[in-house]
Amino acid sequence: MHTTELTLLLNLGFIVITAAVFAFLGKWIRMPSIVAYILAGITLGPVFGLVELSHSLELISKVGIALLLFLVGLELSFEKIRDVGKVAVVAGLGQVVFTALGGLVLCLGLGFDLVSALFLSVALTFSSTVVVVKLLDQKGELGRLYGRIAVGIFLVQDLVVIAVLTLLTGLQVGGSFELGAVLVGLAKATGGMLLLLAVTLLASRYVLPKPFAWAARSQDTSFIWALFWCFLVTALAGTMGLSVEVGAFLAGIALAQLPYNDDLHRRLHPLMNFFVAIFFVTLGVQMNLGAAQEYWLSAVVLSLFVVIGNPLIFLIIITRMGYSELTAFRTSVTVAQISEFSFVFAAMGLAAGLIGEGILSIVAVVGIVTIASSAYMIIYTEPLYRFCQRFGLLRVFRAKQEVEAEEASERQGHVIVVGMNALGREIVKQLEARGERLLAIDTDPKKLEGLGEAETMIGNVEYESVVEEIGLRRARLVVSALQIEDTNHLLAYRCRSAGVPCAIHAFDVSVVEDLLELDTSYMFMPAVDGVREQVSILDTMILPPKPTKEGEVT
Amino acid sequence: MTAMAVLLLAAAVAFGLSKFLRMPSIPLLMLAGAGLSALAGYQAVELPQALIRDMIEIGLAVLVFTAGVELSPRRMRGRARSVTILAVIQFFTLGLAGGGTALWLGYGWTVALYIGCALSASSTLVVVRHLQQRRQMFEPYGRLVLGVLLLQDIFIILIMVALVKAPLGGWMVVNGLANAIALGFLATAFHRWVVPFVVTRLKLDDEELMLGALAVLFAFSAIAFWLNLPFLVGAFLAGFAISAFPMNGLVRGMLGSLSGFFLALFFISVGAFLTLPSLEMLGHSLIFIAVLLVVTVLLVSIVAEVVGYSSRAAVETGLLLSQTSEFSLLLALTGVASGQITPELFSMIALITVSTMTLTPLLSRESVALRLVKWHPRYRSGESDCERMTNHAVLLGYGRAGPRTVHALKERGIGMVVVDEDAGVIRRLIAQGIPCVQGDGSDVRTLERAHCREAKVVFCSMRRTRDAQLALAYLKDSPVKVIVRVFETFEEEMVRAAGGQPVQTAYAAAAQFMEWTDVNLPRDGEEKAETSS
Repeated sequence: MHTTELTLLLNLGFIVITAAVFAFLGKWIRMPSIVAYILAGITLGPVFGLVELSHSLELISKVGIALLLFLVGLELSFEKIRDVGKVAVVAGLGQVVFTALGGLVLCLGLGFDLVSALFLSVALTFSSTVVVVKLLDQKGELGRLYGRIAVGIFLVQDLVVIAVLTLLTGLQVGGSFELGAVLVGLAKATGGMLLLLAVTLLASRYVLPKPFAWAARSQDTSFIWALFWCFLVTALAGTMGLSVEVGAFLAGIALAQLPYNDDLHRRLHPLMNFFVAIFFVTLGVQMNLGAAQEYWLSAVVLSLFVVIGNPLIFLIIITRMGYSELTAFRTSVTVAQISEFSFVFAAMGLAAGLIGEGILSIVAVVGIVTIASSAYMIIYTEPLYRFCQRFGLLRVFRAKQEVEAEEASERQGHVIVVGMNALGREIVKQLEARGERLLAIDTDPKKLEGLGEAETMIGNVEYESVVEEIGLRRARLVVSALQIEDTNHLLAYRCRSAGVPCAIHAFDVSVVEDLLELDTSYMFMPAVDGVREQVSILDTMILPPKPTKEGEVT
Repeated sequence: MTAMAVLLLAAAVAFGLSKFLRMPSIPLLMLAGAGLSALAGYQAVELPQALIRDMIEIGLAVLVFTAGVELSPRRMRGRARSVTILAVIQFFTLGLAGGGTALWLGYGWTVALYIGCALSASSTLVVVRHLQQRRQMFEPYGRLVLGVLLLQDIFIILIMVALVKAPLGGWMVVNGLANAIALGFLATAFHRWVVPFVVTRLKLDDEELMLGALAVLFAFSAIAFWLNLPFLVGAFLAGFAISAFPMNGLVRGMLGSLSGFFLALFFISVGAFLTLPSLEMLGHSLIFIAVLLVVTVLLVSIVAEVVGYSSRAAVETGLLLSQTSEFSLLLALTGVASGQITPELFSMIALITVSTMTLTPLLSRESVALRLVKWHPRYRSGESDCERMTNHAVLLGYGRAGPRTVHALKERGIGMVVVDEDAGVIRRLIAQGIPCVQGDGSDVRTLERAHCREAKVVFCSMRRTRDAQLALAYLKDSPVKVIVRVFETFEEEMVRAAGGQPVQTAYAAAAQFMEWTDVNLPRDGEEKAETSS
């Protein structure tokens, strides 16, 4: 064991500290975090050379991608997938064809030879699933209609990427082509996809429900089991020639059909955030900008093509499929960047001797520019849409103006009851009888059973994402029946910050002072309240009845 | 990816077994790792050594950092004296006993020091989980145990510095400790001024909080590295730096996910790293385990009682602390890395850790504590003479409800005696002139001293339903009415079945709360009507 070397920790240290500095500085100019991470990576790699990409960092990046797509899958039920399946396939394939053709013509126009133009046009075709999913997740809009369409499109593109990479591996150094190898590769990928899909569908129905129901009461067990499932399917996908993204997404979908998917999603989310941040920084570290100066004009033109051309192609396809102008606009904005696959693709071309280093640098510059600009476009889609509407830029598409109806899930004016022990359940019962709109939360699904009409949720209120989801800021009252000091303190603190009254279980004298400091509106003291009943039993059942003046007894 | 899936498979098996067997997960994770390694050896397959090394590296940092985040000084509030006395005496006496045994078995001084220190610390992860499962985190003895664990972690970190620097001479040890203390001051400054500023001035989202917390981890580790200290010292102090409320609460959820993942893989990797100890070492392991169990239980029971805890709480504290810690593994890993101890010795320390952690749930059962308490040579002299008491009321447990019950009984002219195990409570009762007996309300001898069978009524307010059941069993054939305070519905049924009269405090509290809501929370419709008018 070489704990003295600590190479990985050293690299992680550089990455995390630099990413944090860039993210905090970027916060002041409203820079999306992924742009900050990529800039941190460029600073650490191409600029100062402090971090070199190692096998361990590559693995961490891959884990990040797997977790990101696993979480996307965890949010999608079969109904939601079916809902956007058609548009995803048509728009995904349509865009690949049109962008590739448009890019090829443009590159030839810019004076590139045919092979270079082909490589560039293919590199411009694919959008980044990781970038878009991360940004939509940050906006909390992955579950919206346009979010689901975008994810569907990117997964269709991922399948096309697999086909393209398989074709490329069939190309030998020097340009010879092995048709047999390509066909075998394509057949393997297609068969693998179908097989994996069948395996996950069957598992979600027959294999996973019982074990996860058993493990659900132990949070650590279900957490590790979910991760194991994710990496098992991802590894299986790898053996079948499929990408990490496809494998992890299918693993997530299989678990999404279980009732614990939301809780798992919330608990895996922080882990994903960490790994994905490392992924984006290492993406910056890998940027090869050596010959960028020589080709700056081409890089600018191609970046404009991706940022403007790709969304236009999408707008045309999606509006023609009957979606509203707003949904089409929001979806189209998500494709205005190239993918991390583009770097891999160009690097493979360079390694095969098919293209020069200049092409790789162009792809790197186009990648940085388009990922950064599209990050802003996605985060600020609504102001951008209003701007385009104001100047009538979207009229040409003649799309319908009525926006599709989506479920409004925002809670307001409700009472949140945390912890379904005897006290929590009794409070739910009594508040329900009072006609309150209730949300009952516990980490144990069993304890949430039999609560009548009250809405229930499996979750831990220590997570900020849970606090957001339960609508704590818009609640009328927050009640905690928990006997966990730290969680109660944090909940009281959050309620005070949000200006929401809270009633907290003061289960021991030692916690009273802290709860008072946190301005708790009401403190449950069951021990003290129980005395009243004790005394009543004493008077009625134990002490002799007192005679009254008339000789009656009471 | 396949390597990661294999390690996670081992972790998934360990967690499944842990849930099924109701055992702590750490020893099972290590055993699963060892099993994986043995299986790979049998199949002549090579385990992913690079990944295992990486997971140990990251796991160490996360383990120590997470322990530091839990190091909130608030936890020791009001108990600093008793916690410090117990922690210091237990840690150093056990260290001496372990070190002395190692010297007696023929080990050198440095190895004896490592073994002594490894035996001294108890496992925070195992004990906290055990207390949570039994809902005893906030009982007086639970708080005592938590405080002792926190101090033990600090001792281990300081000793780690001393041990690593020891080969360089005494001056370097002093220099190392001075540097560690200086870094501790920096962490304290961060804890007191920087963290509150960040929490109040900057509105950070989940991702920023996590990134910020990890940046603090790596920054402090880098400073420790720069000061020629083990990076783990920096990681631990980084955790302490952000352990102030509410920052510790805000990052706990996020770090919980990270540590859950990395610690599972860490213990699997440590298990895979183990080598099979020789027969001689296995024998030595048994001797060290025996020393650890006997010294801890005996010493802690005596000291905890001396500092004011009841006999039973003291014995339970001793039983609960009788295992080695994850920090023992960490210390041993540092020893292996610096070449001061051999991998085989590390395996022996790991074996002791696995064994004692596995024994903890079996040893810390209530039945074991009760059996040991019976061997106790003497009980405290009675604070109240109950010889002539009949038709009186007995309060088993004083707590928060005690003063009100006493007041109600006085109003009704009923004589009473309070039985409580907490020495502080008994002192206060004597000062107030309330008749009392110090002792365990579930113990027959205590119940006899309070003349419970001659009483009119017994109010049972002890925290554990099991205690109430024991008292009910003693009073079963007597005419005494026993009113038992319970919280959960299943406890109500248990009390009724044992012949007691349950008082469901949760219902009482909910009823009281509803009165408050009637005044302070207008009904939904009323509010709207008020707004519109």
